[in-house]
This record gives sequence, C-alpha cells and structure tokens, in this order.
Amino acid sequence: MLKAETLTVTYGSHTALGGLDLDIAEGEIYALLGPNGAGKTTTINAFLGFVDLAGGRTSVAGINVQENPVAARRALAYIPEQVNLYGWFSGLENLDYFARLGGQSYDHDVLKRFLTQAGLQEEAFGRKVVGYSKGMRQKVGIAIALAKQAKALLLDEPTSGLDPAASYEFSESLKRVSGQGVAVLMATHDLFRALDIADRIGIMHSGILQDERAAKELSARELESLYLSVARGRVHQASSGMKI
Amino acid sequence: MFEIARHEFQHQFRDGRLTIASLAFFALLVSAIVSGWVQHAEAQRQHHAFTSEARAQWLTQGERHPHHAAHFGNYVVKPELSLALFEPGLRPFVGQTLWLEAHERPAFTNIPSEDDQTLNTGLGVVSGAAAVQMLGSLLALVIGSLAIVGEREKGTLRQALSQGVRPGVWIGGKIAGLASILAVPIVPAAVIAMVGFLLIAPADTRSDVGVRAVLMLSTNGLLILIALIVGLTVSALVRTSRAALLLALGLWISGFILAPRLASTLSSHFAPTPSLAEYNAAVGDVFDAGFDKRGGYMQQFEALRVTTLEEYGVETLDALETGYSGIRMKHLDAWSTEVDDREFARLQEVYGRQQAIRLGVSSISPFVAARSVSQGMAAMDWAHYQDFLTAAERYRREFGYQMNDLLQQRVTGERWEMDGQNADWAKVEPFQYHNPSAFWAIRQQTGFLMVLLLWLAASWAALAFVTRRLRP
Amino acid sequence: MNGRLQQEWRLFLKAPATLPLLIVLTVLSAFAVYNGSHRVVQSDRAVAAALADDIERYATYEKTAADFEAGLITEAELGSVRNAHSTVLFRGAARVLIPVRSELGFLSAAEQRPTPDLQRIGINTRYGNTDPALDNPENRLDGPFDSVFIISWLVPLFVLLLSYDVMARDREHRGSALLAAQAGGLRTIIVQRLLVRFAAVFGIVATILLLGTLYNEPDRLGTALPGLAVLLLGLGLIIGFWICLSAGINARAKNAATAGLVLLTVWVGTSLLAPVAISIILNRTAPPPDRLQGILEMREIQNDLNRRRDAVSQAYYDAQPDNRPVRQGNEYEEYWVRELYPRILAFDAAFAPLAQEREAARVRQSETLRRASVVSPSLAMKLLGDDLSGGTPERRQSFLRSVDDYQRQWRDHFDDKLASMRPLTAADYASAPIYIAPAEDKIDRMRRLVERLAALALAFAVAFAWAWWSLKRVEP
Repeated sequence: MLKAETLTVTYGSHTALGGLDLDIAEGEIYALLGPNGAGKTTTINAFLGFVDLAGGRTSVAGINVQENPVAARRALAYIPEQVNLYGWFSGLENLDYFARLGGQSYDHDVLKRFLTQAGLQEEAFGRKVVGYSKGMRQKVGIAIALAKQAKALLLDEPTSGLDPAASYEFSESLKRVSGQGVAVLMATHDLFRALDIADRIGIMHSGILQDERAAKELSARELESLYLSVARGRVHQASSGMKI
Repeated sequence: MFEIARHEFQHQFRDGRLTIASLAFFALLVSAIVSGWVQHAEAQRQHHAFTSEARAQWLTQGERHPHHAAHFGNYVVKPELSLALFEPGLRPFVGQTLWLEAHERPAFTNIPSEDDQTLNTGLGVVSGAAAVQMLGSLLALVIGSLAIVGEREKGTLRQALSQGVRPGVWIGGKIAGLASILAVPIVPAAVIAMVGFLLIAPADTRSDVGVRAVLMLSTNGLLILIALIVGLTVSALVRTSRAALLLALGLWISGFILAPRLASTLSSHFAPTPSLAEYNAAVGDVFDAGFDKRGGYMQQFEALRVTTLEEYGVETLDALETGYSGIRMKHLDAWSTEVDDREFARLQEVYGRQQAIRLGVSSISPFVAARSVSQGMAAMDWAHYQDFLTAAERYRREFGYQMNDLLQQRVTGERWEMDGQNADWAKVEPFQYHNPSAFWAIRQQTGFLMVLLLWLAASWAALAFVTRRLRP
Repeated sequence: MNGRLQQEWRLFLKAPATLPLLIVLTVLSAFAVYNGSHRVVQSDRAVAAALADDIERYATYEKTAADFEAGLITEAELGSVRNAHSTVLFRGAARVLIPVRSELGFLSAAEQRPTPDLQRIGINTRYGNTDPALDNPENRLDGPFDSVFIISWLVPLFVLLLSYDVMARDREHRGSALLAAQAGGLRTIIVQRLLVRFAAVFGIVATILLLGTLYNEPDRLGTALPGLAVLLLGLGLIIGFWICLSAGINARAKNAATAGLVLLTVWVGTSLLAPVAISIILNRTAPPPDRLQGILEMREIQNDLNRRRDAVSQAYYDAQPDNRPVRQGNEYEEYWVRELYPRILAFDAAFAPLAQEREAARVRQSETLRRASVVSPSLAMKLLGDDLSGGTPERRQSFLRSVDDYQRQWRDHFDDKLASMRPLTAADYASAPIYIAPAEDKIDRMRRLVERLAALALAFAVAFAWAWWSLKRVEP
C-alpha cells in the first residue's frame, strides 16, 4: 500500500535519504525509529510529495507520488507531531473544512461521529480550537484522518508531548484504524508505543534503514539495545566518518 | 474553491484584525469620497460663478480699443466630469482656468498647489482614488504576503495540502476569500461613488460618465487585485512572515512611492522641458528670422505692405479705405501662430518622450499605469488638459481675429485709435467646451492599459509558477 | 563602543536584510542629493543667464545714451533709449529681481516652481503677468525626489524595516528566554540593538547630507553648516521617534509580523493619513487665498479704470503738475504715457493691498500648517527641511515686499521723465536705484525652526516615555 523504492533525497551536499526501500501492506502498522536527523520525517514527506527526490520513487495505493502527488495525497491521511488547526474555528468546523479539502462532504452528525470515534469529548466539538490541549488537537487530527477514509495513514511523532493516558487512547484509536485495513507508517521516538502497536519496526540512521524487525520478535529491552547501538553508531560515525 | 474562499473569509473575519483594517479603510474611503463630493460641488459652484462673472466683465468692459480688449482677454474654465470627485487627477498641479490674451499661447498659471500649501503636505493628493491606489494596494499586498506564509508557519498549509487539495485550487480559494474581504470596504464605497457620479452628471453625459466610471473603478480594482496576487506570490516564495512583510513593504515602497518620483525625475533628466525663457527665445528667434525659406517678421511686414498696396490699388497705406492696422495685426497674429505652432509641436514631442519614460517606469510599477488610466478615465490627465488647452487656443485665435477685424473695419489707413463698444464684445461667442468621449480617453491610455493587463498576466503567471512548486 | 555593542553591531551587519537595505538607503539618499544639486545648478544657471541678460541690456541702453551725449552716435543711430515710454515703461529696461537662494537649497524643491522665482520690475504693473511654467504637471504630481522626501518619509520606513523585529524575532523563535538570562537582560539587549540601527541610519544619511552641503555650498559653509546641524538634529529626533516605537513594540510583541504590522500602521497613520487629515481640516479652517476671486477683483479694477481713464489721467497730472507732457506725442505715446501710465499707477494702488492680503493668507495658512504638523513627525520634518532650503511663504512674502519697495523707487526715479515725455539721459540710467535682496529675518526664522524641532522633540519624548515604560515591563 505504501511503497518506497531506492528512495534518495539530498539537500545540497547532504544526503537525507540514501536509497530507502519500504513496503507496508494493508492493515499493517510500521514504526520508523531513529535519532533526530535520521530521515524519518523526510520519508514521510516523500510519501506526501513534499520533497524533490534525487532518486527512486514512492507510491501510495499504487499511485506514483512523484507523477501524481495530488491523487496520492487523496489516498492517504496524515497526522503530524503537532496537528495544526485554525484557532478561530471549532473542532467541528476544522474537521468539516479539512474533510472538504480532501474531497469529502459530510453532514454534522457524521462529522460528530468521527470526532467521537477519535475520542474527543462532545462538549469540545463546538469550542474554538485555540483553547484545545495538544491531545485534543491530535484527536481532531485522527478524526480528519477517519473522515478521509484513507487507505494509508502517515504519522509523524504523533504521541510526542502527550500524557500517558492520551498516548494510550491514541494508540487504541490507531489500532482501530489499522483494523479497518489501513496501512500505517508512524515515525516516532517512543520505543514503548512502537513496540505496543507496530507490526514491524525499522530503525533509521543517516538516511539509511539500518535494521528492520517484526515487533513480536523483540522485547522492550532488545529494542532499546538495538536502538542505542544505532544511535551510538551515529556518534561513532560523526567522529570517524564511517557507517556502522 | 468556494469552500476555501468561504473559509478564508470567515477566518479573516473572526481574526478581526483585517476586519478592523477594512472598516477603517471603508471609513477613509467614504470620507475621501464625501470630501471629494463636497469639494467638487463647491468648485463647480465657484467655477460657474467665475465663468459667468468673467464673461460679464468682458461684455461690460465699456469703450476700449479692440487690441486692448484682446489683451484684457477672456478667462475660460475647464469643465469637470463628476468623476473628478473621486479622481482629481492633475487638477492641484494645473488648475482649471486659463487666461486667453493677445499674442500669448495660453498656459495654466492659476495652479492651486502654488496657493494651497496643504496640497503639498504628504505623499500625494487627498482623494478616493489616491486612498484606493496607495492604501488599498498596501492592504492587499500585506494581507496577500502574509496569507500563505502565515499558514506555512502555523503548519496548517501542510495539513491542508496533505488532504490532497490541488495547490492551484487552494490558492485560488485564498485569492477569492481575500478579495471578498477587500471587497467589503471597496464595493460599497464604489457604489456610493457611482451613485454620486451619475447623480451629479448632466443627463446628456450620463452614458459617457457611466462608461468612464466603470473603467476607472475597474482599473483601481485591477490594481488592488494585482497587489494581492503579487503579495500571494511573495507569500508562496518565502519561509517566514518576517521575510514576507519585508519583501511586501519593499515592493510597496519601490512601486508606489519611489517609482512615480523616479518617473518624474527621469522625465526631467532625459526629456527636459524647456524653460519659458528658452521657449520664448526660440519662438522670438524664428519670429524674427523666419523658417522654411520664409523671411522673418520685418521682411514679411514689408511684403505685406507691398501686397496690400497692390491689392487695394493705392499709393500709400494712409490712402486705404480699410484699416491697415487691423490687416497688420491679423498678419502678425497669423505669423506668430505659425511660429508658435512649430515650437509648440517640439514641446509636444518633449511631452511625448516624457510619457514614454513614464510608460517605461510603469513596467516596474503598476501603480504608475493604473493611476494614469484612472486619471484618464476621469478626464483629469494631461491628455485631457492638453485637449482643453488646444480648444482654448483655438478660441483665443478666433476672438483675436474678431478684434483685429473690428480694427480693420473701423479705421482707415494706418490709423490705430478707435474704441469698440459693449455691442462689439457681445459678438464674441462664449467659449464652449465638452470633454472628449470615453473612447477618446481610452485611446490616450492604451499604452498604460496594456501595461496594466501585462502586469495582471505576469503576476498571475508568477503565482501559477510558484503554486506548482508550493511546499509546506 | 563596548564589547556588547560591538557584538550587536556585528550581528546587525550579518542579518541578511541589513546590507541590502543600507545600500539602498545610501543610493537613494545620494541620488536625492545629486538631484538637489542638479536642480540648484540648473536654477543658478537660469538665474545667472537672466541676470547677465538684464545687466547687458541695461548697460547697452546706458552706453548708447552716453555715446549720444558724447557725440559718438547720431540721433538716427540712437534708437529709442531716450524715449522713456518705450524703454522704462516696458520690459526693455526692466530689471530682473531674484531672491537670495537659501544655503541648503539642494535639500528640497519645496514650493519652488520648476523655473526660478524671477520678478521683472519696471514701470508697468507686476501683477497679472505670472510666467507660466511649461513643465509637465505629471512631473509635479508626486513631488520631487529630494532629500527632504528621503528624510521625512523614507528614513522612518527604513528604520521600521531594520528594527521592527529586534526582539519579536527572538520571542518567535523562543530564544528570548535565553537572552533574558544574560547579564543586563532583555532591556539592555533591545536598547543596544536599536542603538546600532540608529547609528547606521543616522550615520549614512547625515554623512551624505554633509557631503552634499560641502559640495553645494563651499563658499557659504559658515551659514550652511549651522543649518545642516539643525536639520541633523531633526533627523536624529525623527529616527529616535521610530526607534523608540520599535523598542516599545518589541518589549511586548510575540511575533515579528505583528510588530511590523503595528509599526506600519503607525507609519500609515502619522505619515500618510495625518497629513491628509490636516490638509482636509486646514482647507476649511485656514483656506488658501482665493485666486479666482483675486482675478475677478483685478479685472473689475481694470474695467473700472478703463471706464474712468480720462478722469484717472486728469487726476494724475493734477496731482503732479510738473509732470505734464512737454510735447505732443504720436498716437502710441499719447496712449502709453498720458493714458496707460496713470492707469497703471492707479491699478497698483488699488490692487496691491489685495495682492498683499493674498500673500498674508499664504503665510497664515503656513503658520497653521506648521502648528498642525505636531501630530505628524514626517510632516514636521518636511516643513523643517523646506524652511532650511528656503521654501517658506514668509520668505516669499519678504521678497515680494522688497520687490514692491524697489518698484516704488524705480518709478519715482523715472516718473517725471516718463510722464512729461522728456528725453532720458545717461545719468538717468546710471543713477537708477539698485536692488538689494533683503536678508531673512533671523529671529523669525529661528522661531520657525525651533517650533519644528520642538514638535519633533515632543513626538520623540512621547515615544521615548512609552518605550521606557514598556521596557521596564519587558518579558521574554
């Protein structure tokens, strides 16, 4: 459903992604781990068609992102680290607007149902978003994704800054979405959450996918150890110029 | 696109800052229009009174030599269309009245800005058109420049584009939404102005005024649209609001404040208007020396004497039964007219070169082009003033001829002294002038209209180009 | 300059927009000075040509008369120099009078017309023969590209562009808390950042103006430099006004765009709208002299005198019996001398008070305008610059008074010969009065300049107080 083939992105002389291959199936949750600057967000941007590729290609539900970025975006939903909404509008109005941008038009009852499914309290539906907490905004983000009825979901650090309860609720919502056959690519620093919900986990460093495992093969300690070895490798690489 | 436009409108409305700015702008526009209306009505009243009193003074001047009457001369007033209440154009720097006197080609000497220092206090003239052109464009440029980059900084651009909306559609919606917000103060003000134009205009000129008004208001609207599109292009290009604001302000300063002054400075440097002394010296030289193998005035004077004697079959001028003084004055005026026309044509060429320079500068400033078209449609541009000057000069020559003819008829031989009476002055018809048609005005402004349309096309193309590459 | 200030200076210069903006400011200021210098040169050239022409023509008359008296030329070669009506009555022997150009004329085109303010003075009336300017009025529509325009309108905008985000930018990037923890805190940093901006803008503009003064007035530096000092004081105050506003805004603004928009709104309000509002109000409360009414009055007097021409001539010769013509002239002489000359004198006697009242109305409007400029630093600065460059109605009024005085002397000198149709002699030419342009009333000028500086100082003080109050409450 989400496919990257020898994906290469450069910013000047810096290589942000160096030939990444990725294939995420329907209903699969893929967690992309890695230190800052590893290339996780660039990977998501490549699926969104927000970066120019130096090589390779990405596709969403068989649609080539580089050739037809608008159609590809129509097929996916995206929740960033910070769901950015229009502060002067209510959660309901934001959902309505973004759904229409995605080509969907719903009546208010349906929109409310999406918000409820995303876990937003009903009393907040009509309140201006400017007064929302980060968790509430993330829930509106999920509702937007639900309303879009997308085939794939891209998440960029979705639980960053959320309290444990909100993070848990978010994970549950995600599992429900995935259960409906949606392919999920989630970039995160949260090893615990990744292990909890992901089917597969990839660890990136310097634009290269260093390791990839099925989540059920790993214990929390093993994942941490694996992650740290990659991160130390980065330190090592920075001083020696060599890759691990 | 409609949904995006509606959302943008609501967003700006709820934000409140633009609403306040729009309301303030509306108040300013209406004040400028009302103030223009009052001033126009007062000026019209004054000029009607002046015209009739000046005419009465001509008619009741009493016994006077016709040539002295020609020097006493007539005052004529350029009629203004009702559009002048919105767009006074060059009036503060030209005036409306001309003194038509013997031997002198008329020129504007009763210039309001030379008496009224309040006309030189700011960066332009107080008028509805100036408010729209200067401040409306600034408003459009600023809100346009912050529109996309603001969403980029807040992250809503990323959210919106990830929904799969086409960037072109999204920006189209933005333009429509922002234009609607800008229309809130401008359209009602334009309606008020339009009502004013048509109410004041005499019935027989209403259709012409209507065409001119539509074109004038559309031109001003077009300028604002261009400013908005340029602002949005800037906004799509830069990464921060700071940079957008800096760039937008830089464009406004260069396009709306510096460029017009630059146009004037370049005109004065590269196509300098001769001073009156230089002009008069040139006319005097040709007058004395002649041109195209024709001798100067003294030679012609002698030739006239000979041909007159031959024509009337007399030995001496004193033997003439007609007034030679009148014949001589007619010839003098005819010769000075020829000489003056020749020199004036050169002056016209200078004005033409200055206009070409202005047209060139308008390629870096749509304001220069839009203002010129707006003034042209209001019949307040240099072309209209020059048309008035030409008509006034024709009238001056006609009544000058009448005076010389009177002299020729009332004296004999070389005698000069005689007096005309009030009945003679009444034979000089009052000056009649109507502003040229809207189509004539359009023809005069074709170059600037084309530049303005090019600006629209170029800014639209630039926005389309950056839209294709729009990234969050 | 202490170390912190040096550091801020380096940071200021490293900002990407700084150098382009400073270069543009330098180019524009230099261009305005060049323009002003060019205008002064052109004007001086036109004045010199007019004066040379005047002197040459007059000297020719004088010499011809002297040659005739010495027997060097005959009556036939004499021409008309002995006929007063054809020499002093018309422009032949009229003198060209020119006001003394102000030392800092290059600063502003002010009210000056494209051609210099020449007055041709003879026996004939000077009223009603205004020389038309042939200049394309479109070139006057936007005002001149002069230094006063740069100082009054553009310098504030450049200060705004360079300083609107001195702290708002850091707040936006969440760097202000770190800065607040430094010694001296945010207040010191804001002040230092603004000081370097003040120094840069003031330094550039002041240097160019100084160079312009040195170039344009090498012979009158003694009087030009004090004038320049007054101007630079005004420049310092107007830059200070905007710097203080920036300080006040930056003490609070959470993001740079908002800070910029607030300052831009203040600029639009004080520099664009306030002059417009003043213009509308003054048009009602201190209207300009009514020129059309003046024209009608003038023509009415002309008509009245024409109707009473015989009585007017009679009255003149009755009052001056010694001036009765000593001979019968031809029909032209009879008209010009017996009829027209007394009428000219009667016309001036009737019209001069109206013309003087018109000049007085201009001065009154100017006074009111200057007082009103207290609400617009840009306008106050423009009026200060205009005054220093010599463009004030008071100056013109004083010049025209001296012109009228001189014309009285000139007429008195030639009156008897003209009216009595006796021939002029070389001695008449040689002893004709000489025009001395009046020196400006220094106290009055000082008062006007001090008033303008006070208006700017008041604006600065208000902005400074607000900046002080805001900086005391500055938060990261």
